[in-house]
Order: sequence, then C-alpha cells, then structure tokens
Amino acid sequence: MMNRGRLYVRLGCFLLAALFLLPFPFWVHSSRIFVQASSFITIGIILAGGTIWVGSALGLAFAAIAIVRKRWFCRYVCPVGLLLDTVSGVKLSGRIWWKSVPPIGKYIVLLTAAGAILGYPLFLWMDPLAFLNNAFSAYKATDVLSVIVSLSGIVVLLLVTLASGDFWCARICPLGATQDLLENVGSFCRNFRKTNRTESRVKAAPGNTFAATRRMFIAVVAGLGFSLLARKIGQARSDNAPLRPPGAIKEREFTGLCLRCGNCIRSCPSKIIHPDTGQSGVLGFLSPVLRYNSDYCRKECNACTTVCPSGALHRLNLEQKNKYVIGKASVDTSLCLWGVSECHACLRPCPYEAIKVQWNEEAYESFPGVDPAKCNGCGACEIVCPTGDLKAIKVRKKDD
Amino acid sequence: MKLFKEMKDGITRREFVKNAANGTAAFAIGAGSMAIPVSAQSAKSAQISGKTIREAARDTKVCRTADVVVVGGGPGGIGAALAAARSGADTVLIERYEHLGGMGTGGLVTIIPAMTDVSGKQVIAGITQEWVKRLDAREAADYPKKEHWGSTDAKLVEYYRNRSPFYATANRVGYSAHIDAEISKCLFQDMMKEANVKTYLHSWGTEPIMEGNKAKGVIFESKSGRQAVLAKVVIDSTGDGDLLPYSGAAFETHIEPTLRMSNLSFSYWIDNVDLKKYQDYKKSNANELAEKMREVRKLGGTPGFLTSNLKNQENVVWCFPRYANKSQYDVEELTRVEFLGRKEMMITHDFYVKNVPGFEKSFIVLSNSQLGTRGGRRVVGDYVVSEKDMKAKEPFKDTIAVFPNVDETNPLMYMPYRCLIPRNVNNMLIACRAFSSDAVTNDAFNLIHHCICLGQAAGTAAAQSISSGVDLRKIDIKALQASLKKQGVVLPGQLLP
Repeated sequence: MMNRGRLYVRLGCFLLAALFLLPFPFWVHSSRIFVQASSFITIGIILAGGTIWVGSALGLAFAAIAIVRKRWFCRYVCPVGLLLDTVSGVKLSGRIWWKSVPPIGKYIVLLTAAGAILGYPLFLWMDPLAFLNNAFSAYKATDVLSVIVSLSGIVVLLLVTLASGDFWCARICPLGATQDLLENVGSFCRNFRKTNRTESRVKAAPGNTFAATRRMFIAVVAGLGFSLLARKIGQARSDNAPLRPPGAIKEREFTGLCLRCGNCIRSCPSKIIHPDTGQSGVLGFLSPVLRYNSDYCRKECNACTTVCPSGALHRLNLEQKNKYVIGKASVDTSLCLWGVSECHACLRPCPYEAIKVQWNEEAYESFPGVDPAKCNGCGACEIVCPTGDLKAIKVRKKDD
Repeated sequence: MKLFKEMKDGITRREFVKNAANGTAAFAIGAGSMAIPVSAQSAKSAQISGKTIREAARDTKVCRTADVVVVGGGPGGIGAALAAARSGADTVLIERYEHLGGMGTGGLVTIIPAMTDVSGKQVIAGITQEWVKRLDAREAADYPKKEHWGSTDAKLVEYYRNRSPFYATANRVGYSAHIDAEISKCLFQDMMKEANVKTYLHSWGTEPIMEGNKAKGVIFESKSGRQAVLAKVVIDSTGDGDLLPYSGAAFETHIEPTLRMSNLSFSYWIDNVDLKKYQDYKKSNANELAEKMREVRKLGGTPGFLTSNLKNQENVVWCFPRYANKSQYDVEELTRVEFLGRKEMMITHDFYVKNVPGFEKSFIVLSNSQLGTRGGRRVVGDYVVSEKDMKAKEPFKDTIAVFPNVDETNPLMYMPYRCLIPRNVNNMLIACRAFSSDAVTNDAFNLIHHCICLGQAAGTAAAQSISSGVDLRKIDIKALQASLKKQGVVLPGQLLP
C-alpha cells in the first residue's frame, strides 16, 4: 500500500505524461521528450550514437537518481507503473510464482547496452514509456491493424500484470532493470570504498552471486554477437529493403535504434508511414515503412523528421529533408502505358521535374524516364500511375 | 433528265461534238465525269534523263468549280466541309480513302479525348458533339456520365480509369469517348449528304493550283484520272499539310523524338477475348502477368491493350503500339512501319494466344487502313501558336476555338484564327494538324477533336469570306465568332448549358 503523498506524486506524473502525449499545439505531432524520461532509452541511445539533445538530460537525471535511490523512478514517476499497480492486485494466477525467476530484465539491458556500443541496441523498444507513447498514437491510425499495433504494447503489459501481479515490473521491465543495475553500481562503489581491499570483490557486491555475474557476462557477449548478426542481416536486406521515412539512418542500424514509439507514424499528414508487418523481417517488425498508396511524401512537409526521439530519423529541416533520398523512382517499360495508350500521367506531378520522356537511339523508341540526380523518391509519380496495383513507375530503395 | 444534267456538268459542248464525231460512246452513262481515255490512244512521250523525267505537257480537266474545296476527309476536313456547306458555300470534299473520318475511323484511333476542362465543363462541342450525339442515337459511343465530369472522387476515378485510361487522367474524370469507327463512317456520309457537300472518295488531292501566291483550286488523282477542282478558297485538311510544299508557304518539319507526336501508331483489334478470364487472372497473378509482359516485349511484341467498351463488344480489345520513324509522310518509312507493325502484331497475338488466359480463342479481326499519323508538317502562319500561349490567361481577339489545357493553373487554351492562315499565301486555310504552331504546342493540341474545331472555324470563315466578298485575312472576326457560337462552338464569354 503506498502512502497518500506518493500517490499524489504518481498521479501528478501521470497527468504530466498525458500532457506530453496529447496533441497540444506546441507539439501537435508528438512529443520527443516523453520517452527521454526513460533512463534505459536515454542511455541506450547515447551508447548507440543516436541523438543527444537537451531532452537527454531528463533521462540522465533519472539515471543519476537511480544510483542513490533504489527504483525511485518506478515508485514515484513511471506512469506505466501506476497503471500496472492498479491492476496488479487482481493477480489471476493467485500466488506469486515468479519469485525465483532470475532478473531477466538485467540481462535484457546488458544485451541491449552491449549491442548499442556496436550500433544495434537490440531491445531498446521494450521500454514501457515507448509502449505508452505508441498507445497514444492509436487515434491517428489509418486502419484496424495499426490500432492493434499501437495498443499492443500496453495491452500485453496489462494482461501480464493482470495474470501475474508485478511480474513485468519486478523481473522483466528493462527500465526497472536499468535502475537496478545503476543501483548495483552505486552500492558497489559505496561498498568498495568501505570494505577491505583484500576481500573478494564478488562477495562484496550485494545481490550478486557468482552465477548471476556469469549470466550477466553471457548477456554482454550475446549482445555483442547478436548486434553484429543483426547488422549483417540488415545489410543483406539493403537492396530490396522497404522504404524508410526521410532522415532514416542506414537500414542495418535503423531497426535497432528505432523505438517503435509511433511518433513518426502519428505525425505524417499524408498518412503514408505504417508499422511494418513483414517487409523488413523479424528485426524490422513494427518499424516504420513508407507505402505510397494514396498519397506521397509532400515537398512542404518534414513532420516525421522533427519527432523521432532516438535519432533513427535524423532531425532535418525542410530543405535537408527534401535532399534526403528515400529511394529512386524508375520505369518498368513493360508495364508503362506510354506506348499503349499515350499515357503521360507521371510527367507533370514530379515536384523536382525529374521525369521526362527519354529517347533511346539503340532501341529506337521513347519512354518516360527518371533523372536519378533529381529524384528523391517522394512518390508523387507512383500514386498517379494508372496501371493498377503493379505500378509501372515505382520508388525503390537504393544502396545505402 | 438527271442523266443529261450530269453529262452537261461534266463535259463542254466542244468535247461532246468531238466525241460524237469520233463516233465513240464516250458520252455513255457517267462517261462525262472521267478524265482518262476510255479507248486506246497514242501514248505521250516522256523524256527520261537519269534522276528525273520531263513529262509531256498536259491539260488537266476541270471537273468542278466550287466556292470551297477541302482536301482531306479526316476530322479537320469534316469540320471544314460541313461548316462551309452549312454556311452557304458550294463545297467540294476530296478524300483519298474510301471512308470519311481519317484517324478517327480508318486510323482506328477510336477515342475522342478530353472535351472537358479540369473543372468538368465542356469546352469542345460543335461538330464534335454532333458526332457523339449521332453515335448515341445508335448506342455506338461510350463515355463517363455527365454528372461525373470533373470529379476527383477517388472511387469514381478508379472505376472509370479501369474502363479506359482516357476516361480519367490526372486523377480526374473527364468527358472522353470511345467511338464506333464503322458507324462513324456511315454517320459522316449522312452528314455530308445532308449538307450537300460534293464528295470525291478514293481521290488523292496532290497539289494546289497556284497563280503566283493565290490558291485557285486543287488537282487530284483518282481512278478517273487526273482532274482539277477550281475554287475561291482551298482548305488543306490533309493532316500533314501535303499541299504546303507546292503552295509557296513556309513550313516546319522537325519533331523531337521524345514528343508523343513523333510516333506512328499501328492499330488493330483482337476479337473473341474472354475479358473476364483475363481480368480474374490479372487480379490474382499480377506479378506473373507482369513477367509475361516483359517477355513479350523482349520478343518484339506489345505489352498491353485497351478495351473497346462499346455495346456488344465485350470481347474486343484494341492494341495501339507506336513506332518511332524519320518522317510520317515518307512513303518508304510508312511502308517500313506497316511491315513492322504487322509483324509485331503477329508476334503479340501469337504470344497472347499461347500464354495469356482469356486469349486462347481470340483472333485478329481488323487492322488500321491508315497508319496512325500524329505529326507532320506545320505551316508558318500569320500567328505561330507557341508554348508561351499555353500559359496565357487571356483569349486572343480572334479566338475561334477553346481547348482543355494541361492543369488547374492553365485550364484553357485559346486558338487564334490567324494560325490557320499560311503566311504570304492567299485564299488558303490550313485546317488540320498542320496548323501554325511550334512542336510542343502542336503535340498537345493536334488531336481528333481539336482538328474538328479548327476545321469548323476554317469552313465558316471561308464561306463568310466568299459571301461578304472580303479577303480571308480581313473578314469580320466578331461575325465569325457569332456564327461559330450559333453552331454550338464554345468560345470565350459563352457558357455551355
């Protein structure tokens, strides 16, 4: 049972969180700062070489507090924690069966941190604040699947807590585990100062058995290994990789640094960003991909590049965003109707005048063609192509 | 009685006596209209020297004297001949094929595109609309419903686009019609007869008869021999401006190979296609079909076709491939493309029968009797319409036609009367693709219905010039515009109901 004071602080923080997540004019697309409150995410981003900005101070501040106050963030601030606490009393399974389960969360954090150093923080997305952030994007979703995806994180947490009480918070949550690890480091340093130097270091660190240390070591090594593997897989996919929003970092690192927070999907006025469900494989599951179904990436918009908290999408101004190459359009002459019905639909809509009819002396014929130097893959041509589902002119990802 | 009248029109009294004296039966039924010998005569000698032949001097029989002679019975010539005759001029129409309608019928370019502007307002009406209306009476045309013209509703656009890419361009539904070529040939004949236009089919107008820089008539060849028609106004509706090289008028010929109109098309119809089977296959095997299209292209065939959309023609598709060339009025190039077109037609059809579901029992029912010419000569006229005019917001003072233009910023294109008048040549008008323009503008505005509009203006102007006794260049433009509006032509300041 928590005391009144702490309850009010938690409620206050929850309201503050809602303030950050609702589309107020100052951050109508979505707030970048909310997920920065997570020390797990902030440290992960910094290690992985993502965006460090003013907001990072928030996460680092909470990290500093975690060193001296055990799980202070969880007990006083975390809005997801408040949500889960209100349902954890239900405990459908009756007893607490997970007391002897090792701290999986710590292994997840170490795996992620090790991976981050090599540029691929594997489980950075498994953050409760990221899940909550995504849930607040649900109202902007374009279809049922997107709604389900947005809410799935929080829903899963709620179900787990409903069934097993504080299982998530106590054993799995990487944000909580980050605080535990920071607290371990803190107390280790304190004890190190206090104790005799000759005593075994392993014994002196409270809460750590030799087995636990070994598991943590394995987690670090696994993190390094998986990160290298993930980058290799990402590299292999680069050629027929899905289209990423403008500002995206290299594909082989993108799926790692992306938090699946849903900010970019929510911000797009053209509604062309979707959570991926297969194109980029398991590693890219639910990461944002572009699909030019009914609209394209408008020349006057750079919303998505202003809302990414991790830097998976670089922060770009309008001019930089239009210079960024999403992909390159090209014409499949066997589908193109230029020679079948005098179609010239793609010639005018290109905002960069990159499409012109080109004469091929050898083949002795003319066809619309794209000047790759001018094309940035915005998709304006693709959406006007009248050939049906298979477009004669299509934007394809080019090598990084 | 009628027989003698015909004979009187055809031959002079002197000839009559001469023939009678020779004891020939030259004045038998219809013989008076022939210009070739009906019985053996000694041949006239020509002087052959290397690359040229000096032909013996000859007299060419004048078979008719009229007010207006129109050379070419395609869209431009139909507009000109009907407008001139209906405005009171004695009109002669000379057409080289056995049918009227040019590209729109014999050429098998059976599509009238874009008669509405971007807002859905109809700006091309006149004789074009009359044509569609007559087709409607016989259920021989197909086009989007009037209430949908100009619509940007995504579902409507997709529906119409799936029926024909011409019905919805730039994500907008427009008034474009698929028309029946055979029925149109009949309708045009009816219209000519009703208007009392003296028509010569199977007749090739070869040269204008010039007196200095004044056109006086036209010489034409046919099975009946070389003859001449004298007239006060000569209208060139040959499409390529075939009379221009002999008229003294300047003209341009260069066409960039990247322009649409640099291509000849070879059109053909395939019948007995199970379209439903094809469309089902396309829906469920889009990628496989795309692969087949790639393959047919590699073999030299055409990937893709249009559907007829006409009544009872659910099994008819038409193919419309285009061919680059050095010139669209060089007979060797035309022959080369005919041979190539037929060869590729066979390759395409054979491939489709073997590999594309729906085509198993199909057959080639018709190929065009005229190659689809898109661009020929362009006369240098009193005004050369150019790209900058495509951006003009104000109409010309002498606007005689309004065309739908390229987009919302420039929704309308205005055509001035002066672009029909060849510079430094008198008594001649150009009412076809060869109107005075630069290549880019010509490429955008030389389609079937554009030429009908130009022809309608030219024919009306010619008749007005003759009846008012004023030179073509000096006719009362306002009167011309009023007359055109009365004929249902949409001009600036007029709203079509």
